Amino acid sequence: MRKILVAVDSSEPALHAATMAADIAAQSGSAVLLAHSTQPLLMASGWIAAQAPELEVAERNESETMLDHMRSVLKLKYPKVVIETAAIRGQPADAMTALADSEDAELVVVGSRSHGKLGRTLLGSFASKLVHTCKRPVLVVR
Amino acid sequence: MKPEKRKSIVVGIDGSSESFEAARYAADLARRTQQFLELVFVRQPILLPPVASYAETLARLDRSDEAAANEVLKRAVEYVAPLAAGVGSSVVVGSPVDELIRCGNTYDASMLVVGSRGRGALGRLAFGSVADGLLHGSPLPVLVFHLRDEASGHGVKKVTSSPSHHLEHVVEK
Repeated sequence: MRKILVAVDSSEPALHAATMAADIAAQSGSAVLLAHSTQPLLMASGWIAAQAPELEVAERNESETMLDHMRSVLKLKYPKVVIETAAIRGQPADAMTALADSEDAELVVVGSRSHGKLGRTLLGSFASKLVHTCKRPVLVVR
Repeated sequence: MKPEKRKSIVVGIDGSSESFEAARYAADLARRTQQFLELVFVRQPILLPPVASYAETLARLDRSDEAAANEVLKRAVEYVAPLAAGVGSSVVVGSPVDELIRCGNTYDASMLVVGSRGRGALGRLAFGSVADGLLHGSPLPVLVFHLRDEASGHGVKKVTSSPSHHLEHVVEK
């Protein structure tokens, strides 16, 4: 089954992106994979580094709760679409790109933060990085 | 963005092989999601003052530009035909970013599709200005298509489906 990967966080653009992905999946018969990435502590030392495992568990739980919630919301509208979730760790754009490759995603969808000024939109830094890093088709949704 | 279904996918065609592959990808997506496919070639206007002494030359240049654009579109339509279920094409004149957004609105597009690179002198190195402009300025969703290098080990027309890899943190329910 072909898979559409959606890079999400708890923002409104992310929900728009996930909704559009589910909409495409519902019509094309693909599955949706909702993924959220968190970054490990890179330069911590001493006491802070000692807290890393606990922090990681907390972040993982938070990620999974958010992903489960988004999945339930989408299921209300798209009950027939297969929706998987993945909480991943790493530099966000790189981790998402690696996931897109390992899952052989046909499409990667990401929300972009929008700012209303004069109807122009500002591309979020994550979306911007992903578009450059990921060599699969990337759909940026406002 | 409204979640309900829109009616078409608009693809910017510039004659590059990347734009042709983007169109093919979009054709497949459009067919599978029951949308129309609209291929748009945006021609840059010839920015010279219409002085009488070379007005005829300019008019000729303009006509040959238009003919070249139409030829590219014709080939693009042929290229995507096996995958498409209904494809339209048009040549418009103006700034590529503005015109693609305008066409997106005209055709009630669900998304705009462009290649990542564009055709500039630095095209193979730089991220295309059209893709960049659309990502920053388009109110419609924008799909950026990358022509994958052969060196990366991924074929453009990859048909095999890879075995499902184990995901360390995947939570499937």
